[in-house]
Amino acid sequence: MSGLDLGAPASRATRVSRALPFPAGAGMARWVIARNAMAFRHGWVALVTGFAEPVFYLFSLGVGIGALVHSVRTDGGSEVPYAVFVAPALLASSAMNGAVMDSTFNVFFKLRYAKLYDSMLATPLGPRDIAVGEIGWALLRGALYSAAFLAVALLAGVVTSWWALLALPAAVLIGLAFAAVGMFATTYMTSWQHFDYITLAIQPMFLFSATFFPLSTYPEGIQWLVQATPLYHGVALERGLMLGEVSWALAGHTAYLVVLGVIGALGAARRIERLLLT
Amino acid sequence: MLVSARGLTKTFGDFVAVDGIDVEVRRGEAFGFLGPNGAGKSSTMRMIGCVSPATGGELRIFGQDPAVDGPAIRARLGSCPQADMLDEELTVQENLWIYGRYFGLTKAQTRKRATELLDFAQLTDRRGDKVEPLSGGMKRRLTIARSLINNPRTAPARRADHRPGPAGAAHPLGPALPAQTSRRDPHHHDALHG
Ligand SMILES: Nc1ncnc2c1ncn2[C@@H]1O[C@H](COP(=O)(O)OP(=O)(O)O)[C@@H](O)[C@H]1O
Ligand SMILES: [Mg+2]
Repeated sequence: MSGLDLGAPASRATRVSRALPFPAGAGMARWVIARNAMAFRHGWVALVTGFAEPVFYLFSLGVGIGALVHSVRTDGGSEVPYAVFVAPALLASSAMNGAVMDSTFNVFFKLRYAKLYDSMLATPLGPRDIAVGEIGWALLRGALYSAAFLAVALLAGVVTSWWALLALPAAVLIGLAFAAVGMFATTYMTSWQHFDYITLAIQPMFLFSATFFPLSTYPEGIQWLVQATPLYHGVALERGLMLGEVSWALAGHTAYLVVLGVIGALGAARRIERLLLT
Repeated sequence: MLVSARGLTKTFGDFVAVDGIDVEVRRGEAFGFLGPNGAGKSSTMRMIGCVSPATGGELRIFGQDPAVDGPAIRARLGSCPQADMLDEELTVQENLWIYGRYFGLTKAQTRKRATELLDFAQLTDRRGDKVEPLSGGMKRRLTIARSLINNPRTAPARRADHRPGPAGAAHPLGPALPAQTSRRDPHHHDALHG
């Protein structure tokens, strides 16, 4: 075996990633992303549905409920129309939903049925490349949907602050946290029935993370529970940015999501290593 | 030396799947492991393919240690799995294209190599089709073609060294007979069969 001149995998990224004490990777996660983009071209219908859902919610809730509720007093203390109040929460929840879908159903199929990761691991790619690549892909898709949603929200007149420019990176961060944890959880699943647990975790979060009404309206006894959930932090972050109610609390929400994302990504890579490299 | 193993061991919990085998495979040899089901052939091949860490003993592929240089070794191996494990969401040629990128080949290298391999596997006229509806034989040919994607070659075919393999290598896999040297590839390819 000689004369093999590889493109340039021994880049700086490769050397750095090899030195890290995490599950092995070759700094080639981008090819996992490229693979998903390639597959996605054959199934672009998913792109439309991923975008349409939060927009439908915005109009049905914002316009429908907004006609009944008129205005809401936010936890930040301002009085805003209901559509303005709910739009950031829809952005946060759709970032969550998209990330969870990508990192659970799709990853489960690839891991258990398509054996896609087995064939990737026979190449220079390592478990970390797979984890980072899959999560990165979920984020890319999520960013696309979030950008589209923000554009619609802007046109609908429910964006009121320049801070909303940061709403897109914030949505990507929410996606990161949920995609990473979702992928981590998926590595423990062995049958499709286990997805009921995912639904069980996601549905109540969607409804009760100060999504549709402010935290202050919850009974005091369960406010701490609401504040413990990751989506609460996502919603609070987006709402702070889109309404321009910026305070240090936003840094706290950001930190929560970052930590969750890092733990999830490391856990997912570690588990893939355990499962497939035995 | 392509592969050299000394006292190579693999255990799963208490169960000893590969019990201290010694193997040497030189360049140009085609080498096969024969043995009854459960003898440990696949476990050995997975260690050689750097997708399964050895529990004990010493293993060197191209003189490198899989525990240290796994990605670099895998970059040079043509690994042809038992099950086809093709990417069914992609077309025939996309399977080759993306696999080349996993190996760190450039786009131009990959495309050129894919074209040659499609021809070799007689899949050129199916290149734009999804993998799923292909016949079993076609899928197998595509799997083999894909496993050769990282072996670009410009030099003339190497002198094939048809010396018999290390038949003296005694191990619990049963008689490790050197398989018949076959030329699976129009360009000579060092072949290991599990
Ligand atoms: N991941 C694993 N966990 C536990 N036991 C395993 C695992 N892989 C293989 N074995 C066991 O190791 C033995 C050798 O298996 P294998 O290498 O697949 O044999 P062969 O390929 O020669 O038929 C078998 O008894 C098998 O059940
Ligand atoms: Mg076997």
